Amino acid sequence: MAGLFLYSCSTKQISSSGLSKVEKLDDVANFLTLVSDGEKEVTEACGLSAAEALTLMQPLHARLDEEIQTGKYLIIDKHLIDCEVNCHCGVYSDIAQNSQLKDDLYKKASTFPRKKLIACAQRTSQWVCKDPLFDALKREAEPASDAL
Amino acid sequence: MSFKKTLTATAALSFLLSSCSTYKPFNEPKLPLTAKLATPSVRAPSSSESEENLNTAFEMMMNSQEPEKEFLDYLSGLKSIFLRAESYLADFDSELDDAVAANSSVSFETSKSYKKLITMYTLSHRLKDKISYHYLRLTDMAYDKSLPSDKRKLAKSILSKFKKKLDSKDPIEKISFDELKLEIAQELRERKGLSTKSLSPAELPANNFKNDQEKLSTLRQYRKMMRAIGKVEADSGDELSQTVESITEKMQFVDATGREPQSELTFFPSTTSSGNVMGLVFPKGVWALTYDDGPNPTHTAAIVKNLDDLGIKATFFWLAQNVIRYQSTVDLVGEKGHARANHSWSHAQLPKLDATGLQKEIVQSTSIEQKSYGQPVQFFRCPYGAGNSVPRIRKMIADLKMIHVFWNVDTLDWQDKDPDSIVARSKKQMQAAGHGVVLFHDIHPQSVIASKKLVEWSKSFKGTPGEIRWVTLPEIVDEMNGAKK
Repeated sequence: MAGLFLYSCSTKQISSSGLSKVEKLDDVANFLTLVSDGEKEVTEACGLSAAEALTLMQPLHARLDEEIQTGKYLIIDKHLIDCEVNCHCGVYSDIAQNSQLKDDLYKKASTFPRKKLIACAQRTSQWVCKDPLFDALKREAEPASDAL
Repeated sequence: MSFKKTLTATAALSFLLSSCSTYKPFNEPKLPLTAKLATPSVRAPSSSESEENLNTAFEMMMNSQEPEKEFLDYLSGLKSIFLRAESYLADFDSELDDAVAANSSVSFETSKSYKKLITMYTLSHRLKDKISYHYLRLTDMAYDKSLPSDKRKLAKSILSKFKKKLDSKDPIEKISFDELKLEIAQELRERKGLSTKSLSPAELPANNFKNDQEKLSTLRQYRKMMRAIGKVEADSGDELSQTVESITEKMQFVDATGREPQSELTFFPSTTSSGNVMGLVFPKGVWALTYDDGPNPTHTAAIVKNLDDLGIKATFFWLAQNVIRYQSTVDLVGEKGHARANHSWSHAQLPKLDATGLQKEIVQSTSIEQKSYGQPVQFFRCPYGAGNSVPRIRKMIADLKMIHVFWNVDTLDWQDKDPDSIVARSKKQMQAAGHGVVLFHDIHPQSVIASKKLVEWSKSFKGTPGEIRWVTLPEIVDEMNGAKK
């Protein structure tokens, strides 16, 4: 019985559900940034090269901008604490309307410990490779060289 | 004029009019959409405009702010072309006179007036094709009961104004438009479309002259005046005359192998790889620093101050919606010697847009920025790089005589707020690539700091084999094109 319990825990899937869309996109952005930087903790995930990760960042950027521009997100003081754990200080600062909050979030983002970013990216790597978003980004990514 | 000179001139003109398919001008100019003649792009020769291109031009005209004006401007353009061609014909006649007097000959390959005549012939031919096509489409629209009445009314209104101008009593306009009218009337009679069933004789463009004798008499009477007007226009240095100069300068007669001399340039407006700068063919150690999404009065100004202090120049790819708001920043950047380019109107995802959307994001934004910068816009970068490999987008960019620019070092400064992390990433990519184009954004505070640090780092290589030279895009394109010539 204990063995069965342990088995079921070890195969539990980590998914992206429960995250807002913008947070999900930001997670992927953080993950791809670190892959493109060659961070060894995440480079093996998804079989992506650094160059490939960079090309996926462009359509991701477009999606993030689109989502932020919907205006449906409200950033409040609580996010200043939350972001230290979820690594979203940067995107929260992009969204925040209140200038003081924006500045405070930005300060956190600009000095955010890299170790924490890596830890967040490792969590993302557990689900991102199989997520439909990942396939969509690959389809949308354009080759840098002229294709005509 | 002596018989010999007349024969020579006539032979030359006949040759000109009939043999253009034998001697292929290597840059068959693509006609602009309006007769204000935004500088046409130079592209590979083709025998005629494709149906698809004509359709695209028509749709763009109908979706423009003032379609009536756009269409009428075509006629002004045609008249301009005709008058200048008359002036070049006079020049060519003089060359022949001089050659006969000196007992020598005129070489078509070296005669500038001859090359200009060929250019004007091609321009005129293609513009008449375009006008005829538009006229026929409008005629169809006017009588197509399946279309909403407001569209039919618009088409009829445009046609009515156009026909009025086409039927001008001015002698010079009668001569300028005569062949066009004949072409349109011929097309209308031959087509089996709605137009031939619905048009009354009065609606068919009629000949401007009762007979050939009247036409010849009018031509002789007004030729001197036409040539004088044409010469003034040709010497005016306006966009059309600049275009003609540019084309004839590069014009060479294609040899039997059909080589395209334009391929001797490294970069030129084109839908091929020559029309897209990534930096991969730059000399080793040469880098273009580029900034997107501005101008921003705070961050752009700070960047410019840093670059000034460091003695380097960059290229800025801006949004027209921001250019309109921050003219003083636009002026500052220009005064400091940096290059300014286009990044669309509002940073839209271009592949998702229809023709109207692209018209605004690419064509209108370029027009706005040209006025703001006080000079033609040479370079364009698609937002998110999206559209770089989409033919209709690349064609629109090339048709506006712009070269697309991508990058090979992506700082990700939009995502990463940490300047030191941005610098580390940029250094790594630069060291791996050795040369190219660096992408920053001049709307983020982290980009101000990071780009300063990056340039400071690059200076540490001065005097070493790894020395880094920063260039603007106009500089490096001119340099590489000059080297190839």
